[in-house]
Amino acid sequence: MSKLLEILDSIIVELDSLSDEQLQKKFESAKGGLISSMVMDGQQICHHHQLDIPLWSEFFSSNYDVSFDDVSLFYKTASVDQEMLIKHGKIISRISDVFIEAAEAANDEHYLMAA
Amino acid sequence: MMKGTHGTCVSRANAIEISGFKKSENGLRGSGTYFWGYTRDALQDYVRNLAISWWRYAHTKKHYYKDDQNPRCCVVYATLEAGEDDILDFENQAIRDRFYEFAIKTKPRLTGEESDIISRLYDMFINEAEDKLEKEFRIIHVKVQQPPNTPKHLSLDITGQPSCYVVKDLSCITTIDKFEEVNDE
Repeated sequence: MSKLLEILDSIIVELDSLSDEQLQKKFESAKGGLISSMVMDGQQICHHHQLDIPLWSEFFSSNYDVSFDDVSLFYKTASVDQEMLIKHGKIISRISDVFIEAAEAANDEHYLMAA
Repeated sequence: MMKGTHGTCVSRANAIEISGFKKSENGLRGSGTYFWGYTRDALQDYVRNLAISWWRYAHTKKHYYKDDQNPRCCVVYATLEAGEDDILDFENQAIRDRFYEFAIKTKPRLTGEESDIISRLYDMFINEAEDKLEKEFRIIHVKVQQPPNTPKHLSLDITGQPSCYVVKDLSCITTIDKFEEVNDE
């Protein structure tokens, strides 16, 4: 373990001596996709769907007593926040299907790809 | 002892039963066989749900099994074994912190799609370590986001994000313990 940590330390130190071009080259030679756990946040979902963020946020704030970012966070963490559930539970249950569908569509290309 | 569940379709499970797991070499999917990891049998329902949710996602959203004769869900349970030095454990804080630092130093200097950068950062980090160690890791352990629509088990505050074992050396799969066809999916 200590040998591994020493090697990882040396990798980090060596990064400082790499030019941006050398680093980009290493990046491009990496396969990618081995591990990806990215989930988009609300803004990225809007971007993916080419939605206008201010309009989408306005839609949420004028129709629901919960912000787009709150629902985004709720989906992103997939956790049951008791306080939020008590406060917004009914609203979330009404809009979550629509939101989750949008989030899943946006995340389809980014979710861990494991056959 | 490391154990894992692997969600797939019945046709592919049948192939696994006959000839064992095959490592995906497909670039964008990465190289390795992915398992939802656990070490205690009490967690079997949890990792079973993760495998089923993965299958559902792959089946309904990605249509991975459209050409398979029987696309219905099957969960494969396996036992994995590897020496401590053969596992790169991203959940070890000393390693995670170094990966974090690696990302701080590299990510702002790279150009590419955000999601692509993240997955390639992992690969770069693993490749660099393997080159310097002059050996390949046999298993990568990393926490990942649970599949969409995974049934709630307990709060993430208790479970943490699910563990994933990426098996790069298939000889680490010492036993295939069970094939469970899931009929209510």
